[in-house]
Amino acid sequence: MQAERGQHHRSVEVLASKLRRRQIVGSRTAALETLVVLRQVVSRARFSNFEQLVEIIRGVGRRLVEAQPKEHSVGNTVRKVLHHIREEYQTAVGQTGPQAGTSTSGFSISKFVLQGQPRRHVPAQKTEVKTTLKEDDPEDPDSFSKGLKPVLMEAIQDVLDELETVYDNVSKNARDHIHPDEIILTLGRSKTVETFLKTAAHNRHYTVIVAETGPSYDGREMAKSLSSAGISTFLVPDSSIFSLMSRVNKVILGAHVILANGGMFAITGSLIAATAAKAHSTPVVVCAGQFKLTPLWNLYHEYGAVDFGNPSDVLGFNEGELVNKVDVVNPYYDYVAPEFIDAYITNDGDHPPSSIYRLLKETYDDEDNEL
Amino acid sequence: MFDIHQAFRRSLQNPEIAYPLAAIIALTELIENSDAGTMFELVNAIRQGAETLKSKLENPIGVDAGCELFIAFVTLFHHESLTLTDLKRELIRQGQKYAEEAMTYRKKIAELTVGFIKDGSILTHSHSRVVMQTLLLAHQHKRISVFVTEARPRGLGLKTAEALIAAGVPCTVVLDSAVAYVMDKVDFVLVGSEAVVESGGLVNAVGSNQIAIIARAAKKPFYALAESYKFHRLFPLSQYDLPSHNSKILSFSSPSRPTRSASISRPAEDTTTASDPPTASASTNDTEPTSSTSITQQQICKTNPHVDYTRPDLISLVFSDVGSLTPEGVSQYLVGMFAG
Amino acid sequence: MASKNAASGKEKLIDEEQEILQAVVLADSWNRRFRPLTTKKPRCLLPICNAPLLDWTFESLALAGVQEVFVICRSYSEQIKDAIKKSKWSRTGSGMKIVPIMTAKETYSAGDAMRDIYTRGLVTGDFILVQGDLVSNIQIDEVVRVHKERRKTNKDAILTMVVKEAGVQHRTRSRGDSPIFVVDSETSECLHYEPSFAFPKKQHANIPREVLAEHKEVEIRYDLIDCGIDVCSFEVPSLFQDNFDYLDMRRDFVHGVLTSDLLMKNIHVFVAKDGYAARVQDTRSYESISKDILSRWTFPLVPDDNYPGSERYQHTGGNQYVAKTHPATISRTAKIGRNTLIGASTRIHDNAEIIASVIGPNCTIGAGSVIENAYIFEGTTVGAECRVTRSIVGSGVEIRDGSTVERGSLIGDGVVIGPGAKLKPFERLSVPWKAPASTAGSDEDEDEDSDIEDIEASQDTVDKASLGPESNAIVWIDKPPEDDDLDSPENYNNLKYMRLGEDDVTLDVHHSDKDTESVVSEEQQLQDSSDEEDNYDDHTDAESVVSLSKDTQGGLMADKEFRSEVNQSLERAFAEGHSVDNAAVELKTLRMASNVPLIRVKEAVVAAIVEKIPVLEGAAEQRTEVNKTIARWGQLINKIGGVDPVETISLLQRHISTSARMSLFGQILAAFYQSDVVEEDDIRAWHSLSTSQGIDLPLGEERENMGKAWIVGALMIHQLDQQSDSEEEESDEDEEASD
Repeated sequence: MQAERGQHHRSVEVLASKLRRRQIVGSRTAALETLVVLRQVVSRARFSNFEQLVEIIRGVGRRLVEAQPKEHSVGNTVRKVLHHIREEYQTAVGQTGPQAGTSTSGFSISKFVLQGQPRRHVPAQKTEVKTTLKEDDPEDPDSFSKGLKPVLMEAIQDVLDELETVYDNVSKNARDHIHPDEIILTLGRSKTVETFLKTAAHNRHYTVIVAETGPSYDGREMAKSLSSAGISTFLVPDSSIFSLMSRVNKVILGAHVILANGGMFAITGSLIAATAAKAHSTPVVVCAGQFKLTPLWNLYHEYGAVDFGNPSDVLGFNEGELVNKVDVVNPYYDYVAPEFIDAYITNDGDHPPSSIYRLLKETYDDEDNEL
Repeated sequence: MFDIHQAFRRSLQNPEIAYPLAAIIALTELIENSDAGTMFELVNAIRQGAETLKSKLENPIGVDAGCELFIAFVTLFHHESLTLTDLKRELIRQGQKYAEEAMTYRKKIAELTVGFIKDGSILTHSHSRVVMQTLLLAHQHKRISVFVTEARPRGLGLKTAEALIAAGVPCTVVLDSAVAYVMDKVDFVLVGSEAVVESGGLVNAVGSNQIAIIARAAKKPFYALAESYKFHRLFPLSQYDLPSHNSKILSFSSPSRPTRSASISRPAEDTTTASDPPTASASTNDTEPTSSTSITQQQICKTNPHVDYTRPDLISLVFSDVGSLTPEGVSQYLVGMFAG
Repeated sequence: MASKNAASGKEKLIDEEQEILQAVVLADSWNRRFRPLTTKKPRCLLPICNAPLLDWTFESLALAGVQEVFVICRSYSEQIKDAIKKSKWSRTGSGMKIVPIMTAKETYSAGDAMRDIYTRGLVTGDFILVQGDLVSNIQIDEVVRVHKERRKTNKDAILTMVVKEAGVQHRTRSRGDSPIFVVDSETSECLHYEPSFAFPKKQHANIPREVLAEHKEVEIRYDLIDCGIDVCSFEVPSLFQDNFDYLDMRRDFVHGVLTSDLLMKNIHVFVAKDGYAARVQDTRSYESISKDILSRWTFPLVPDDNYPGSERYQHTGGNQYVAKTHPATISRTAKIGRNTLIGASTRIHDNAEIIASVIGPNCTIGAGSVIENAYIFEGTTVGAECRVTRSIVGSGVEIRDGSTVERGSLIGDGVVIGPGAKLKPFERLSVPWKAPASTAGSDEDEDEDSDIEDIEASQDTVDKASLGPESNAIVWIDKPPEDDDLDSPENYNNLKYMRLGEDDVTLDVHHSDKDTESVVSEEQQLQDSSDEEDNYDDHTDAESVVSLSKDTQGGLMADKEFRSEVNQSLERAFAEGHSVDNAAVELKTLRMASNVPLIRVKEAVVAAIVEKIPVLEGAAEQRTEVNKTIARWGQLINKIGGVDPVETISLLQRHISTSARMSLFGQILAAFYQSDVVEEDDIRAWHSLSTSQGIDLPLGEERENMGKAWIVGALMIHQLDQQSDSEEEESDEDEEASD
């Protein structure tokens, strides 16, 4: 067991170092890389019962999350994989529901209370063959793992497919959300939002106002890209967001991570846009893939959660006099509370912030919340 | 003759047991002493016992929650394979097991809440065991200071303050009327609960609603701590829909006749209020007022409510042993629990 | 170990290139700026923001994608080897292979280390050369790529230096060692490198004319931070091998290569626009870099993110970092200011104030103490009511109650001071040296030991009362060494510019001690020699002009002492009848030792000889005496070097105008002429100088005397003219006769 752990340490360590050094940019990229690593780990893993497998995957997840706690899509992907694996396992072993309801020993009032949680729908039986999987078989410890592996690989493949088609799925109903001759405000450069807007442009004619989004000025790239797709685009400085808000019909933002209370972390400047929208009663819509849903609650209480970055983006390092006297703060993200957001458009449908909680229960298992 | 009330009182002697748990324990004792022949009779007996219990209390909401939970459990319990005696034994066992387990819930909630507490000042209301445990746990890891409201008329806030000061937490007692005054100094508000209702709102000692409104105006978070057995299917639409509300509360005294007769004419209800912790500030002469126009503390106590209802949109999060829930999440939870 | 190599060999996920990127880390700094903190351990293992400097360097290299690192260790190599073995870099999957190389004791400079690298044949291609005290987040692989591109077209591009724009007044830019770069704007080729220190302060930089002639656009940069990151081609170590004089990377190698006519090699400069890189060269930059890390300029190398240390920190408002994994216990009345770092398991008691400081792990800060701009290493206890300001305190130190540690102090490991100690500013303390009982080979060389023995021996002269009754420390006395090499940045005054806690105000005070006498003469020498080449002013500060005048005054006072020494030497020579050669040698050595310009020596010699001539009554006897003296000692003037007869005459005139022997001027001059000390042309040249008439002097006796001497000179020239006329006539007659 130790030897295997040593072996798949290598790819995990490489990814952990890359994450730590912030050499991986973008939450989707991070999620994809995590999946690749997990696939490697699972294919090489040796385990004789289900718990061991879960522990292996959890261990990998813990290591990656520890390397870069601010990149939440990594942890989310691990949780999603665990969830799928559990489902597959249960269908393979032949259990019908999450609760082993019939045996009285397992049933108690506390379990009964827990029933209150939204239950997962019973997944369709993928394999009709109910392979007799024997756990902890003393004669052939690998039989369990070998029998289960193809099923696991399928599960991981499902997650991978979902990730790869995220942009298309989010943009599926784009034209229902944008009406002709509307004015949309957006910020920063989110690939999801970009695809969304471009898809809608096929059927609708509308205008987009893009805010520059200092200090990274990603908005400029976004404006260039949108206008090259034939959408009439305006590029404005961040300071004019409030003054233009009365003309805007909708605000569409991208998210970095969506929290369990329905709030989100998004690129700095999003809070300005959301607050201005609230003051004008303009709807705020967030496009994000489901891999950004995080079952964590109290992230926004930490001061450092907004990811204070390099001050040289704001004040050049060669301003020698000022460097000594001034503390430069460069937060990368804003926390937008759920009250500011009207709907989340995800690849799994549209949801209001208050039912994010329910979505989470369906997507992940409780025991994985803390890896 | 089995007196469920006494059983209830007996279990309440353990100071750690909350009302709903005591109710469940009392109901298990009722099962023990019951001579029902069929399941149907048993369930009826339990229901009746619950009714009896509730009728004697001025504030039955917590007990109600516990009873509902137990009854739902009993009804949905699979019992085809068991004989009645076995079933009874099983039910009793389950009830006691749950009561034991429930003792750990406060700790769980405390650990969950500590993650949300930063160095700063907290405002709390009245006395709640779960809030006490949370604050003491937070004190070990963080630098907190606590404002406690006095919580008239019972003055339970003083009890909280004394316990916190003894533990070394900087703490001071704040007048109920000074909550708005102190709110700007507070980082967030933490209160316990008597029950959490289906709308996602909170039923707690009177004053909680006020504090929640002021917290919302000052944009401070308002957190409620509730164990899962306090979840109740009630859906009040206003303050006056609570079961604890009666016509006497906030009634005006008629000018001609002295109010004395009104207070004397309810001897039966008096015994229940006597069982509550004694009022710290009440005067002892409750029998005969000296003059017809002076108003005593006791009178005030009687004509004022003990609990109030806080609307769900004023609450930021509810922390429970099943996790942290938004108020909307609570209602979905309850639906799942009781309708599933 | 074997499996790790196997694993790294098999699973090379990153590059497809055949060459792996190598780096060489010079772990030794070859200077002693951090003593006494580095008496028992190497500088690269000192912690900055609670992680060892070497780890920061490795992290910087890992960011660049380096795969193989050679660490050249000289001092304390065992410690470095241990540290590397224990660190996370030795674990599988770290992506970097680190090989410590122990060099011989005789490696005294970077150049020697490079020669060692050459002989060992470690590097196979282009490699990155850094020092072991680098903190950087620059994408060095970008620089390597640019370098390699360049080499495809230009095989002579051997070195690319990474520098960062910063501005002259920037806190991270070293003031003690601030070179001038002359760079071609288009190709970023470095055309000239001029080292410049804070002391002695350069007034002029000399740039060869060819540089400007060959390149269209030239930038002269004085605002760059030299990051100490070099991308070297594989030829570089061999160039060091060829030239044993190359000691320092910059002052010798770069300067040498650029000014060499034979080598024809190019050095380029990469100005890093994004990213941060700086070396902890001295205690001042230690402070600036600590502050830079805490202000997040080195993002993502910050304590709460990609941190080389093992502890995790939590970042709260105002750039405060508090240890998270092993939490620190902070009293609720303690005040933690901005830009502070509190280490693991540290305890901070009531009413303490920590402002802009770094506190190491397992420390205790007593009640009411104020720690400001200070850097405290691990395991230190600071008592109650103490003040520690702008200092570095080593590990395991005990500062007892009521002590004050003033700015610039460096307190070595294990020192105990107080209670009630009051340290002076720039105090350096350490525990008495105990020769290590058994070390695997003596890591420390002899002159370190002897240094410390000297210090210990001189402890009696030091007033230890200020250290407190329970102190066990020895004080490192701050005095300039006798052999102060002004060409190196390690000279005494220049080191002051590189000290922690040094502000501009205090420096002027030091200018008026006797050491600066040499400054004036240096300046003059520079000016003298630079008359031959073009002069270009560099961007110097205005204050240097002011300081110069102060220097001259100080210089003149010191003059007298030198004069007296020369006189003594000459008197000895006269009295004991030394030969002219011996006396000349003695004077030469005296000049070298005092580092005095030649003209001073000449003045003194001329003055001494003149004064030696006894004043007699009779004219004839007088003349004899004069001739005798001059015949005996006249040649000495020329033998001491720098033969300049015109100058000799000027000096003679100058001296005699103030001397009692004024009337002897003509005779002495004639005697000079007779004994071939001066030629006829020299006399004429002297005479035609405007200064020989004494017009630049204020009216007075001296001027009159100068005038008289001039007239005497005129007479002499007249005589010489007559003589030569008569000679000509004679020769003409001879010619006519011979016809």
